[in-house]
Amino acid sequence: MMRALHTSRDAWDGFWFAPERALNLAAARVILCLHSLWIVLSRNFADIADVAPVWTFTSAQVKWRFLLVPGHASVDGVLQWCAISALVLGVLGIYPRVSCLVAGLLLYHLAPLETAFRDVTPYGRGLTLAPVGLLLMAASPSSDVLAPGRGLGLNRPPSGDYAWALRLAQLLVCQIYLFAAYGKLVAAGLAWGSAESMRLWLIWANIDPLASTFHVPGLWLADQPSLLLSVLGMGTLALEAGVIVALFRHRTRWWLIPATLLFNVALVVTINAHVPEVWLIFLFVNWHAVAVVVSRPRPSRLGGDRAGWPAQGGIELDS
Amino acid sequence: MTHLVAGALFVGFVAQVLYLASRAPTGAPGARRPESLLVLYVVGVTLLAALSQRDLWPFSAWRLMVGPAPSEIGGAAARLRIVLRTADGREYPLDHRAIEPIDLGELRGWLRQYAPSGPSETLDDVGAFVLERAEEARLEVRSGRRPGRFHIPLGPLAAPKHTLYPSLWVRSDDVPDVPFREVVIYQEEWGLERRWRDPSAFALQQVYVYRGRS
Repeated sequence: MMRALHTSRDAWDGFWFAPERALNLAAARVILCLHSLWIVLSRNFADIADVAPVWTFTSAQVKWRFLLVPGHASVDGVLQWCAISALVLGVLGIYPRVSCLVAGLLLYHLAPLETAFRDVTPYGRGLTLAPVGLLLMAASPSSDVLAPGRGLGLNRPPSGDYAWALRLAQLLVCQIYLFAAYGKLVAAGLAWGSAESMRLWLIWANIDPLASTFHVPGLWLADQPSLLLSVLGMGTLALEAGVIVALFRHRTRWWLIPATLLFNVALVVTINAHVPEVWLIFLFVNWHAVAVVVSRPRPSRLGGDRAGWPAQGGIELDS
Repeated sequence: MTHLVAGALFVGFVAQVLYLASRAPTGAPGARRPESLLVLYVVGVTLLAALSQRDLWPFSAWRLMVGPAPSEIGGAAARLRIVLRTADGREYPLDHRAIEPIDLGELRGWLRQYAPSGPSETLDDVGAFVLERAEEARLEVRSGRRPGRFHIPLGPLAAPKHTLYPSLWVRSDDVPDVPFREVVIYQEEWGLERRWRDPSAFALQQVYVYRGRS
């Protein structure tokens, strides 16, 4: 019994606290902040609070849950600018624990303004992972590098302290796909991936000229033979259920990340739906390895020295 | 109940984050218990959301395109069309940018909940909002500008919305040269396969009209 406990504890620590590069955690902080900035600067959350009639039927539970007080757009406008400022500080690595904490909490309040007036949550609108991801960055030492005066820290030894928050943020990204696959199987079973189901989804998402920007790729796909549509449907389920492998098998990232990016683009042009959170797949890139390659001094024509090559040099794209 | 549970779960998460943020990491394996508890907590809550198929935002169940694909649009799977009508009866489908900052998909969802139950003062307030913003947008488009009040700082690099609605009012002749007088909401009914073969194979049933306040 004790041995089993020790084994499971070792496995737990071996996964969540396996030594990780400081730069990868810091890059996660920068990516999460930049992604949130992208969404916040593309929306106008504050003014939604001022469109009084749509808030008439909103339940008190929703208002309390997200601390929404409709009719005070000026206050929400100030909070929105506070969130933007905190995110910029988070990108720059200036007081990142405080800035990520403030940004995460403010986005927990602001993001629901987009949908809360009809008592639904804003999942898939861009900021679902932001409150949790940013707060994870606040709880972790993400400012040891990529902060003023800290540099890239390529010589800094890997540590388990840099691992758990990054792995958890990566898991949250995988869950977008994994849970989407699970939901499909619960609601429709494997029939979701059938040719008929694919054809109907594609027609549904493309046929209405008032509700779709792209029409040609989706309707062209819908007109393909059933075998191809079945492969497409089952492939979608398999990819969504399989993305989580990237969390455990690092070498699969070489093809899973590009495949997922391609899948995301294909969804936009064939389904006319955009789930901005999926672009956080870049959290899986080994930015330390990229920085090592980019900062590698080019050998001179005279066969010059390689001074400055980091002590942990070498490309570890599968680390 | 879901709102209460989801709110409490997020508060629990924030409390653990505040504790962790306030202490310096020691690096010793035995001292990582709080981090492990936080990891366990997040994994547990997200699994609860997924297994219960309830959205505990920001711990989401990610129910994206779940369920069987609809074969008919109408009834419970109704789709609403929001149209602006001029005094001479011409109709123009609403451009999604005209009602910024409200998302057209969210407004349609809101109307689907409340419009079929019949006109009310609140529906009229929403109708007045749509008419006012659409008229503003019409004037902007007529003068060669982009419709809508939100001038996105990122321009074309802005994040697309969840549903990719097309921009309908682009050129000045996409809108009338006379004011909009009414907001009309139609409920659409069509079969997917039928409309695919014949784009005109759909029916519209008027469910609400806002004629402006005198």
